[in-house]
Amino acid sequence: MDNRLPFSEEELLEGLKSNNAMVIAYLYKKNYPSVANFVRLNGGSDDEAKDIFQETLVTLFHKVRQENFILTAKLNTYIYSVARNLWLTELKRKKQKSEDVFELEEFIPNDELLLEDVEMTKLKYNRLNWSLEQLGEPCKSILSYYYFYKWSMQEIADKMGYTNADNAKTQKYKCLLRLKKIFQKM
Amino acid sequence: MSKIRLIELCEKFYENSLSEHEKQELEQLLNLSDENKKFFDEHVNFFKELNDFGEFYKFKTTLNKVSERYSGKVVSSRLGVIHKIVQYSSVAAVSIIAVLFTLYVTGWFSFKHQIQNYKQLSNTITTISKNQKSLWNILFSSNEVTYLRGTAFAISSEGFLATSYHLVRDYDSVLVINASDSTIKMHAKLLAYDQKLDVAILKISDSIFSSIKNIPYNLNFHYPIELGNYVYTLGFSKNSIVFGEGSISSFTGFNEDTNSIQISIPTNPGNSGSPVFNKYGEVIGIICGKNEGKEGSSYALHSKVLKNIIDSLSGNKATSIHFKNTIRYLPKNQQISKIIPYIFKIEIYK
Repeated sequence: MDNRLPFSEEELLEGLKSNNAMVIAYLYKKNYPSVANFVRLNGGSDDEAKDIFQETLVTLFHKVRQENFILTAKLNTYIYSVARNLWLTELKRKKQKSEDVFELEEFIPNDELLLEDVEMTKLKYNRLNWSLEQLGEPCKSILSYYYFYKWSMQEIADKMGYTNADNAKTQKYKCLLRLKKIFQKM
Repeated sequence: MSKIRLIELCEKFYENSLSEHEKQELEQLLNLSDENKKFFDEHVNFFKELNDFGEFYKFKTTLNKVSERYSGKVVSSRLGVIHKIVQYSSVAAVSIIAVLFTLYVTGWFSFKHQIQNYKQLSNTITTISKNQKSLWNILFSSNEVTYLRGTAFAISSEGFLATSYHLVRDYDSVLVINASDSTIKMHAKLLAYDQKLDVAILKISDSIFSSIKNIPYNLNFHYPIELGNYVYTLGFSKNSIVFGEGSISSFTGFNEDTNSIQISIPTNPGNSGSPVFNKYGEVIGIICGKNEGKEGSSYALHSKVLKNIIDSLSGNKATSIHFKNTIRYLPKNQQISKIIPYIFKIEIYK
């Protein structure tokens, strides 16, 4: 096996930020085994380990997109520590005792991870997602095509059956005003 | 209306794409009232949040794809077997419960009804297993992934494809590959089917798919069958597309089935689901099978049976089924080259 790293740590963080599938796959390959071991040894199932690992990468994604983020440890250690934190939180939520944690690797203590702001972001996105669901069709599709899939107004007009791009655009802004209202009310 | 203009200007401000003229317009609107100013601040901020959310959404999509791919690999082989047994037995248990439940709910009266249907069903089964060889291919590629190969063709701009049901029965995943560009493989899902008629409608569900434009042929649901009429077909009896021609040789298909016709085109495994065209470039049938005992005769489902299943989709956004034929008066070779981009090879993994 080739032991050289195909990506430097900066490249990994940059790739994560810019949604690079190769980088995400690499992070999986390198870090999933140790996270899965930790979860399994501390009362979790395979499926729970998978969920925790996904959640860890989501957390990392939010974290690296913060302007003031500085990686203070090795990325592997950081990922392991975040996963450890998330799983211990989950155990607490399930009211299972977590006093005798079976430790496997070196980790950053929970209070140094500063994940509270990420929790806020996650909550905000959940709210936004929920607002979109409340909005219903055709608004949900129009806004998703435009803001998430980055389609042009003309493509959206064709897809949704509007006579021209301008009509679709007006509809888009109407939807946006409604979305904002729903989002604000929550 | 002014709110809509204002939010448009907010978005352009956020994207940094305001023209000089629009800058002035925005300034005027903002000076007009404090309410507008508040609206402006809130919405510019909202655009940022929406944009961030969009980035996150894309990330989450990639993450799901990667983890799906990855989760298949982490299970060690022994664990994998146990995993599969558990998985399959739970599926079996669910099926058994579903069957029992159906029998219970439908009661004795409809149970008798089912026995009557069962005759027809068994007829279909013998049709396929004894005499009529289903035209599919079982291929073993080097890494021992088994898949079936067949043909499908486009019937609407939204990515609806028609094909044979026996191909996609028990499918795990279906990939469609365009005849004119074999490098693009797209995922498709089963949208509707009729097992008895052996016809299925797939929809291309891949994220890279946008739409199918300008389908040149139409579906003729009312084509009067006349013996001796010229027909041709395009299908994937091998890895690249194959043309075959012949005539209508019988009004009925296998076992005097009136939903299908017999044609004198030699077909081979992989031809299942191929469209049958008349000389006007109209789809009049779909290849469904052949008689093993008789060489050179194949069976094609009459396109009239497609109509029912397509109609059943109308609630399902299949509104733009294309009916305009633009190749009617072209010579055969030109018809074919126009049609080829709308024929798909399908690979079915089980």
